[in-house]
Amino acid sequence: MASPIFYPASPTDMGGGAAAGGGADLSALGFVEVDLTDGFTLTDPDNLVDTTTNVANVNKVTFTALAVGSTDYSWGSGNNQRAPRWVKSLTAPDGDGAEQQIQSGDTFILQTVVQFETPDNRYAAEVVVASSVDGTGTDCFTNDAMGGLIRYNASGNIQYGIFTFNGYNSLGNASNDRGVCTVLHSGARGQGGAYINLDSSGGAITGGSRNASMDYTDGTTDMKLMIGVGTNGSATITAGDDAQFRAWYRVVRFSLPS
Amino acid sequence: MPDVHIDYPEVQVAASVGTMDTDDTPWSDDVFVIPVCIPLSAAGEWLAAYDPASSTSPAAATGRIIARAVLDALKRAAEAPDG
Repeated sequence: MASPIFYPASPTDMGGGAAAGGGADLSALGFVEVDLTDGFTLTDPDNLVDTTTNVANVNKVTFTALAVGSTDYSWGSGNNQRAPRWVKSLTAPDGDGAEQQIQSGDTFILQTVVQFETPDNRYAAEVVVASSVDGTGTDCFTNDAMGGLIRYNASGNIQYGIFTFNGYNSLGNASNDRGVCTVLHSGARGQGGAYINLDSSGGAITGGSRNASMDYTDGTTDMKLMIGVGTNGSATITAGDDAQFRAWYRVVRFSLPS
Repeated sequence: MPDVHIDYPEVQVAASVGTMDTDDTPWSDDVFVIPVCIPLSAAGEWLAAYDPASSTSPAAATGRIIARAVLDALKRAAEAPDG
């Protein structure tokens, strides 16, 4: 059994102590907690979002009705991506704590942790915490997105996994507590990543991986963090249905050896 | 006869997958993921043995090579203690 993993108490906590030369302690790097009400811009092509709240670090998205379901609202089920998404600049702090913009040509990883929270009115939902070259596009070719994934039906086990471009790989288990995922970027390409699903004590249950193989248009585009909330497949939504989750992320950018 | 391999350590049991089929049709299902690897040196022989316009192509003996490789992997994965 692995040791329980460390989660920071504060959304902005870098985790661990200060390194001797300043900056973060890379032996105990923490995560940034996602708060959809703080610093994100909502893009909602078909006006599906009624309200967005964050209480005690739990994000809650309440929907209007989606009477006719479509895979257009599922991030990993086809080329169209019309589900609501919250977008902000993808940045990483330098040694002085100043946020630095990540660009599409950089070598970096996005590490995510996702956690299902019980909705008040559950529907079949899909949540992604992803890197993207755009984040506001309505198709996978514009967004070039990949990251951690939560998906579930109106009842049954929660699945955690990875979302890449227009597909996913996920695994369900009654003991799934959190999903940990890493996706790799370098040389203006998003390659894909891997995930491990954890139980409530931090032990691994299972895991998987998936390629994205996305060649970006250029290496100078400012990358985005995209939190998407949609439907699992072509599920419908009744007005008042909601999705609730916690999510964390950490971006680490590297300088390649000269 | 052309050759084919299975990347067995990459076999995944009961994964949920959403992706695109060869004809770009989206699909999603709970599946066994079984990677089929065709050596570059054998690709020409496989393609020469297959006519997509013919319902009897490839020949049974040729098609059986891939079928048995995939089914051996499925059988092993399905019968594994944690599979």
